[in-house]
Formats: sequence, structure tokens, C-alpha cells
Amino acid sequence: MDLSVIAFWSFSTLAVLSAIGVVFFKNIIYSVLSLISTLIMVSGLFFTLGAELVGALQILIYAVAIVVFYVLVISTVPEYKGKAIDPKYMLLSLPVGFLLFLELAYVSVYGAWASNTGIFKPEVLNEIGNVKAVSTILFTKFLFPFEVASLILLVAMIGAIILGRKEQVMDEEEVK
Amino acid sequence: MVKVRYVERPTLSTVEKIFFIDFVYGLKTTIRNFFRKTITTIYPKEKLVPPKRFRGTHAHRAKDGNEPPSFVVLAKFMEIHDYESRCVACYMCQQACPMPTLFKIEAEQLPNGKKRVTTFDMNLLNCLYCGLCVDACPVDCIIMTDEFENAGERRNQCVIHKDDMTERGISFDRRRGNEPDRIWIDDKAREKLWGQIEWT
Amino acid sequence: MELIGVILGLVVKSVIFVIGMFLLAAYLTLVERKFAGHIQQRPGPLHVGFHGLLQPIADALKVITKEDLVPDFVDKLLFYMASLLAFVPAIMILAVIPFGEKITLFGYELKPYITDLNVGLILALALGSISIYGVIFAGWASNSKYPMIGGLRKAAVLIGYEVALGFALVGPIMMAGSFSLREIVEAQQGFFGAFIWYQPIAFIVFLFAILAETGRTPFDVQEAEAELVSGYNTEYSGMKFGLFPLAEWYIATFVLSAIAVILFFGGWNGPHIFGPFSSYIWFLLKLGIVFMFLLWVHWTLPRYRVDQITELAWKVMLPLTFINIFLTAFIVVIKG
Repeated sequence: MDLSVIAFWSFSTLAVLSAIGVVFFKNIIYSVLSLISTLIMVSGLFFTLGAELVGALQILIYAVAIVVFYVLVISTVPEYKGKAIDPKYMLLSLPVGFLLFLELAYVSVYGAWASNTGIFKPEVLNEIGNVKAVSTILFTKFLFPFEVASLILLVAMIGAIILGRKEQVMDEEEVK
Repeated sequence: MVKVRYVERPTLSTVEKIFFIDFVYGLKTTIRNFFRKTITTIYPKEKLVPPKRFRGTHAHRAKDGNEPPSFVVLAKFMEIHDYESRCVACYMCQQACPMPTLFKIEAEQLPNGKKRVTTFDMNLLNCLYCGLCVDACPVDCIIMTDEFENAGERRNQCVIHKDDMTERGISFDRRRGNEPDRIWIDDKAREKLWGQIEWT
Repeated sequence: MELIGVILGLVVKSVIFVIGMFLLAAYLTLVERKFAGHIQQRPGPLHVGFHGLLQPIADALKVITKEDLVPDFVDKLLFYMASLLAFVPAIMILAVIPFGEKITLFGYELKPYITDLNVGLILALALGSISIYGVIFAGWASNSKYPMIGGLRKAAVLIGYEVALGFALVGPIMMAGSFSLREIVEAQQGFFGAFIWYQPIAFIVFLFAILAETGRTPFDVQEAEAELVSGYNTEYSGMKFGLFPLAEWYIATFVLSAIAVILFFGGWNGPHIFGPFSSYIWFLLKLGIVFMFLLWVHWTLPRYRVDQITELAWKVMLPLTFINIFLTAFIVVIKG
């Protein structure tokens, strides 16, 4: 058996297991912990598939930068609020979740046939490396979507700053 | 209503902000200290001599001819031989002490009508070394010496008695009696640590 | 059969690295204690061995044999896991750090690194950041006020410096044209080829980030002794406690100063004056200087508040890195 096959199966098993943990753990901190575990396992999958850049960025951005925000919010929320389960939202979330699942399933099944039609051959990839391949594609073929994505992020950032800005209300007395 | 006074904080100039001038000053100070000699003493091998006013273990001055006039007045009522403790059992130290059970002083009347101190015990486990007993003593008897290594293995080792206090007092007077009564041994020792003092 | 050989080789190399790092970290505690002592005009450890040379071993024995208390009402699993979570990623960064050039000994070619990924720098950063979770979860699992505040402070600081750190590294990466640490070193040839001459702003921001990530003094809000008893590790004892400072103050600082040397001081480049081990000696020399500088800063400066750190990170360091990226782009274009 090949090493990468073993790695693939162990990473994916652990990823699925910890994803189940995210959903079913009652303790919200354990959920976050298994979320981190899922993200790291997925990055391991990327590593076994030869996409080192995506794998490393997965750890750096998702497993650290984003989940730290979750942890910061969750730690400051009292424990009883984390435990509350509201069936109203559960009813709403079930069909949405199912739709998301369908979409993901479609993408992954579609990808099973269409993944080998990239513009870089494996030999080229090995020679120039992951980073250069990604950046070449990003700044030539997909330049417009890339710029649009950054514009969306800029809009989101400005929105966040405006929402988070404190309104300066001066009392008459304070001015004096 | 509490009144708050706003104080203008000193601000940094632009140059100081950009080049972290304050940080550089701090770093300069620490690296200068790094190359200086250490000022510590390696305790069990080297021991500091405390200043004469140091408040260490208590002692009794002996009747050695240097008594204050108050003692001379009282001496004729007391049965005290030469080189014995000067204590007249006036209980002034016990009155001054913030800790009521620290002293155990007992005296008896001899057949010839004179008074003799039989017990003078101090439980140093209760002592906070404030020195009030020294100030209270009318005959300049109880003093505090420069001995500071008074730890014991048992509790009863920490109780000091009249005889060993007298012994300690005699030895302290012999060692340090002629020194001027000051905190620093000499000006050099003080200037080494505190720098020159400019009196106005 | 060849596969087993490769795996065996990697395992042996990893074990050597880990054990070496353990011993090194133990002696780095001695270096720090001596340094801190002399800065405060006291000699530091003096009695165990010649000038305290055996002190780390005595300390290790003491920490290991100490009673290991676990307080009631802590989250047991996380409480145990947190110290590992801080320690393991910190030591995993060693996997991607090259310590010198390849050498040939007795006919074997020895590579002084475990793996040379072409995204080594990002991976090192990512693993360094993951070890922060140890601090945060230690704070949460202790079920106590001060550790909780310490952990949250660390999370708040992380949000501040991580962004600035990422953008600061863009400068050297642009100049080298690679994420691989080995290739970054090879791009800096000669004395004036070191990136510190072209990237002083990036270096300052990187120093700030190292100090914040390893929790050294100007930014040691997570264990501010004066305010939070001992911060996130207040409830810990024994070796579980010992792993935190070992991971944060010594291994993480050591490894991040290695990355600083690689990025800004030309790594193991230097005149070949020490014979075959020249590259290693140069690397360790530069690393030692950077490490001592961090210690020096640690034992000099007072502590920032959390809001001041986030303010510094977002309002000063981040704009500085943007300016740096802009300038670097100019330099790269002009140099061709």
C-alpha cells in the first residue's frame, strides 16, 4: 500500500469524525476544538494531494485566524447561553443545510470527472512549484474574479468599520 | 461627588515616536548594568555587617559602670552584682510592647529587703522587632543588637533568657560600643549605593 | 523496503531534533536567568555546578518529580490537552527550518532539516499560531478568573499582530521570489545581500510580532504577573506547568529567531572561516545574537496594555507593512 493512500484515508476519516464531533458535542468549546481538528485534517488532505500552498493557507487562515475569533466570542459568552437549543432555528436550518449538502455533493461528484482538466501538467507543477502555479492562474486567467473578490472584501471592511464606529454624542454639560 | 483633576500627560515628539528613543534609553541602561559588577553577597559565605542601629536579637546591658543616673537612683533598692543584667523589673518594656504575651518578667523580694529579677524571658516568635521596648527602658538595659541569625529548629529555642541576653549585650558592647551611632558605617559605604548627598 | 528506510531516517532525524531542542531549551533557561540576573546586577544561578551549569538539570528534576495537582471543577480533558497543544506545534516548526547547508559525512549526505517544503514559511507561521490555542484553552479549561482573562487577552493580541506579521513577511518573500526558507537564504548572497538592508521596516514589525507571539515582555499581557497572578497557567503545576514557558519563552522564541535570521540576516551565509561546519556556526551565531536581543528587550521594557497592543498593531504596524510592500515592489521592479 502506498504511503499517500494511507495518509489520505487516515486524514479523511479523522476529518469526518471531527466534523461529526462539531455537530454533536454538547459542550461548545469541544465543538470549536473539533472544528479546528477538522480544518487541520482537511489541510492534511491538501498536503497529500500535493496542494501545499492551499494546505498551509488553510491552517494559517482558517484554523488560526478565523477560529480564534470564534473562541474569543464563545469564551466571553456565558455557558448557559451556549447550551440553549432553539427548535425554531433548527427547523429553519434543516432545509438550508440539506441544500448546502446537495450543492457540495454535486460539486464533489462533478469534480471526480472534471478535476484533471487543469492547464498545468503535473511535471510543470513539480518544476515551478505550487505557489507560482496558483499565482500565475490568479493573475492571468482569473484576474477579474480575483479583483471583484477583493472589492467585496473592501466593502465588507468599510461596512464593519462603520458598524463598529462609536457615535460621538456630546452632552451640553460635557462640552462646557 | 468626587472631583477629578485632569493632568496633561507629557507627549512624545515625532522623532521620539518614530525611532523609539525611549526604548533605546532603556536598552542602554540595562546593557550598562549588565557589564557592571554584581552587588549581591553570597550569603552563607559572605555576611554583611549590619549598621549599629540595626534591630536584631534583643540583649541586656550589664552593670559595668556606664549606667545612666536613673539606674544609680534605683540601684540601691536592687540586688545586682557587677556584670549582671541591669534590669530593674519595671515592666516598662512589657507595657510598651504591642504583643501582650511576649515578655515574662518575674522578680522577688530578698530577706534583706532588696529586689531581685529572677526571670526575664522573651518569646521572639511573637516579636515584630519594632524597638518600642528599647525606647521604653528607663535604665538603658534592653537593647537590640546586630545579630540576625536567630532561627531555631524547635520553638523553645526561640525564647531568649536573661543570662544569654546579658552575655549578648556584653559582647555587643565590646564589638560595636565605640562606633558612632549612625546607619551607615561611613560615608563611603553610603555614597557607593546612594551617591553624593548635597546638604543645603 | 525503501519506504521503510525513508520513514526510519525521518524518525531518527526527528527524534534527534526533538531531543536536541529539549536540551537546548533547558539550557536557554539558564542563559535567560543569567542574563536577567546580570541586568539586575545579581549573578543568577551560582551554586549548582560551576556558575550554575547544572541548574537546568536540577530544575527539570524538580519540575518532573513535583506533585501534579489538578484542581476540582476544571475541564480535565482540555486541561491536560492544553499544555500539549501549546508545546507540540511549537516544536513542530523545527520540521521546516533549515539549519545550514548539506554536508557529507562518512559518505552519507546529511541534510540539516527534516523537510524542505516550498511553502515552508507559511507552514512555520501557521504552526506557530496554532500553539496559541494552548494558551487560550488553558485559560478556558482552568475554570478560574485569572487564567480566563489571560487566555482572552492572548486571543485579542493574536488578532492584532497576526495580520501585521503576515504582511511584514511579504517584503522578503517578494525580494526572494519564494516561500521556501532555503531559497530565501540562497537569494541573500554577500554582506549587503542580506534583506535587513532593504527591509528594515519589515524587520521591526517582525520583531514586534515575535515578542507578541512568544509573550515576551512588552506584550506579555497573557501572564502579567502583577495583575493576573500568573495568567493562563495559574492553575497548572508540575510538568504540565513546565511545558508552557518551555514552549512559549524558549522553543517558540528560538524557532522564530531562526526564521528572523533566515529572512533578514542571510541565514547561514558567511565567510567560510570555520571549516566544514562554517554554515552551522554562522547560523547559530546569528541566531544567538537575535535571541539575546529579544532577551535584552524583554528584561528592559515595561508592559503594554491589551488595547494599546491592538492599537499599535492595527494603526502603526499594519500601515507600516503596507508602505514597506509598496517600496519593495519598486525595488524589485528597478532591480529587475
